[in-house]
Amino acid sequence: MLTEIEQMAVIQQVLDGDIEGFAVLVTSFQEGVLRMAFAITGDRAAAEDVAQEAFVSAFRHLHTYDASRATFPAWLHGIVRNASRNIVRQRKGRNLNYQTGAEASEAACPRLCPDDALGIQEQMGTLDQALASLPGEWRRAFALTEIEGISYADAAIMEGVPIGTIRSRVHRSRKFLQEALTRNLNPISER
Amino acid sequence: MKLEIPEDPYETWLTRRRRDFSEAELSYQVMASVRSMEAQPETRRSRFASYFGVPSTIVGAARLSLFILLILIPA
Repeated sequence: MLTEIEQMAVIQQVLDGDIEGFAVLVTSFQEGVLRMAFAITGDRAAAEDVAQEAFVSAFRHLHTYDASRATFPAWLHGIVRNASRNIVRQRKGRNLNYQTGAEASEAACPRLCPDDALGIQEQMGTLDQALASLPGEWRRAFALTEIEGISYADAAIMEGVPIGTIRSRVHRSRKFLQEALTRNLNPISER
Repeated sequence: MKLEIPEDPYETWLTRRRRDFSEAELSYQVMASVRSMEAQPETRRSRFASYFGVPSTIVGAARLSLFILLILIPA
């Protein structure tokens, strides 16, 4: 990950005409951008389209970036949010392929026996679906802080809301996800 | 053979979500788009826009307003 000073140096380099320098920014931020886009859209293919569109848009508008108003990741986050909104709007009516944690589960735990792997995949899928069913602003607050590890204060700036709002959205999201998991683990107690 | 069973499914899921897209490789596609954008000839309007750091639609709107004013003033 680039430091803020390095980010500024690369941005200046790109603005001075060395467009190849932009690849450094893409490589540095792509993981976070994809995870955020996935958290918003709930669809891997859509997340890739969002990330692509967001980076191209960031390049096009790089001259408007003002470091005194926002950090580069925060500025990029705004672009990702808008790009996600556009893609979701464009694909409204078409099904977004929500993917469960099955793939990740297989890749992460190749040594598990089939029965265990199935149970875990189901739990991961339950949590993925629960995350997808959260309201957008809760999901973004959760993804920013719990997945990306961004502080509540920075997430509040990125989302343009007070820090208490972020705290409450994350708390509610966490509770909702854990309840979804409990329901999945103890389906009988629900009856 | 039970070798790796997560104790807390929520923590396991969170760890996996944090690792998601670690193998991503976007720069090739993004840079291809960026290079093709740069290869397009720059219009006077976009050159102006980039010089003043404003969207080119604003330059277009300003140019149109100026044009309308120039027509109205003699009238």
